[in-house]
Amino acid sequence: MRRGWEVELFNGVILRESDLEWRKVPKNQIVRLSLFYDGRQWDLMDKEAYFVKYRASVVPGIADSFRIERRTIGFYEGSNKVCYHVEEDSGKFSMEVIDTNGR
Amino acid sequence: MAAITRWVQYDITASGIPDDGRGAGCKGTRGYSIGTADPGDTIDIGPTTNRLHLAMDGDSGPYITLYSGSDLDPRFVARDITEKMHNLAKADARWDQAICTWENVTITGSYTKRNRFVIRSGTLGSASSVTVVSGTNDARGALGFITKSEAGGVATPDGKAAYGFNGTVVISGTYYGFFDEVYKIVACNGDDAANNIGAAGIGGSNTYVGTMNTGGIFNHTSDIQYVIEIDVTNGSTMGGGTGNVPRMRWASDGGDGQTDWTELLYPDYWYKVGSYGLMVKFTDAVFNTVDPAWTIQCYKPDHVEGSNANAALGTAQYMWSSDRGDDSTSAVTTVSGGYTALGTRGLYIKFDGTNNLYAGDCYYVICSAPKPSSYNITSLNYGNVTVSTESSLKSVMFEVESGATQVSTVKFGLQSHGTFSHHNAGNSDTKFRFGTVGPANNGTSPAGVEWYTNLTAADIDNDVPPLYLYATEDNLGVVATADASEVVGNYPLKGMTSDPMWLNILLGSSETGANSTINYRLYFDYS
Repeated sequence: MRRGWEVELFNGVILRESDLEWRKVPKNQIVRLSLFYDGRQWDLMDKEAYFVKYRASVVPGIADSFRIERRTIGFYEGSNKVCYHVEEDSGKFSMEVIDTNGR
Repeated sequence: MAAITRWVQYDITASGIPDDGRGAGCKGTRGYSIGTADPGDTIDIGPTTNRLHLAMDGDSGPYITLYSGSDLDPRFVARDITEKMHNLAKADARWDQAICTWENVTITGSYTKRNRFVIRSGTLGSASSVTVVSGTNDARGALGFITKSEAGGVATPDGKAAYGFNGTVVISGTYYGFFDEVYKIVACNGDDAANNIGAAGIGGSNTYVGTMNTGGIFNHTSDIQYVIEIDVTNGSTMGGGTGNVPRMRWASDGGDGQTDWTELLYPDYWYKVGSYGLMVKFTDAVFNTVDPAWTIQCYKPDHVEGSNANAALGTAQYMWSSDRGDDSTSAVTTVSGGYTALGTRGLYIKFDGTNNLYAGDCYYVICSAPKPSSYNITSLNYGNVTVSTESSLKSVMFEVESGATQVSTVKFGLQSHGTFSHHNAGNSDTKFRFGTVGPANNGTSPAGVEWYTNLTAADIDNDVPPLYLYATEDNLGVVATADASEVVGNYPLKGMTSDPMWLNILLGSSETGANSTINYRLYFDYS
């Protein structure tokens, strides 16, 4: 079962989290951004700009203790960032709208 | 994708150090070396590319050995270089106050990304210089120093022919900053605009809905208007990695325009505009291609008091700014023979001379950060602690070294109290103390305090923090989520760093847990 984000570019190329970092994705060529969680799928399309975010945790100094707590895909909408969160341990989905100007 | 993290420990006695430029009385500018080859925005350093060979004001190294890793964040690498220069134990300000930064440097030529490593000497004035040289296991290729632009310091900053004031600036106080910082002081009363920088006017077709802040202090021999242009060919939001982010350039009617592009790699990161002190930063939002995006009028400092271009100490005024955005909002009146405030982090300055202070006289104070004591720590050892007593305090900082461009929402919690059996048991309990302050979350006195030396257990044994801390928790409970953990600030200018945290333990009078292995866990968002 697959977890993580997937991007489809205008030219049909598919890029996946397992293959490269989000920073390497050509942001001006995204036609679809999806988040997968063990058979579930959330798709974002036709947005002005997209983002990917993770919540992680780590025990100080213990590299092996690093774990992903939550994966997020989202898009910008005016001054807001609209977030689709999926908890890593449960697959629980939630949505959050963050005002980037702190309002 | 995993972010690679590390923990850094500080002696609680560590302290920042302000300096006047190696005896220069804060006068002049610093010599520098800019790596002009494009290193990208991730840096690979390994055993054969980890030595940086430097000469500072003509004094050769020895070389410094850089932190090794893949895809290292350049802000992290810049701070590593700075700390390694300070750790050479030269006991010489040219090294101890030398600073490496990752910035959009202003140099002539055609560059398409602009962000580069810059190393500056700790010396001010014409004796100041930095030379990056070749050597064994050379890091120049990894850092972009195969081609370079180097220039020595000059005696008079910002194009002025000479200082009007015949004296120097003397520094007093304690620097309560956590990272290196350079203050620029300009004699002026800011009668045109605070720090001589007018309000930014937004272009009519600019659809950016975030917040653009100006910073710095402008100082030149004439007014200059800057017109900033934005291009989103490669990407419309910051944090997307080099080649995938918005770009900025500007026109100037003062001859310091930039016709090639600076990549806006990170939100809330200071970018320089022009050559005379203006900086801008942007919150995370969508840009559009637009020209003009913003127009900013900057003013020559004409007066130091009322309508007087020069005035005696006691009436003459000055304003200040730091390269990390610690900016004055109103002019400070000098005191003849006395000290007045510089910045918000505990520093004071005195003008030591016998004539008037002249508008545009410019000075720098170079502050070095508290030095870390250990990197990549894997445990905190509180040592032997007697029941009913407090352990010594430990101070640590968390940071992401690679695998991300931004960190947010940092939380810190106690994951396990190990074998301790009298924690939150209601009977003369063992307590896990926590406190924090830092560049992101300042204390209140001094207003900009980021670090406080020689904290004791009494400073964090109450949920109401002392004025020099941002937050304290007298007893962390065992928690399993980010939401239940303590808020810790995060800061984007010197890497992806957390604010420092102070920790200790009070052993309850009945505590029997010996050699207890306790675990903390830190939560963070990254992208």
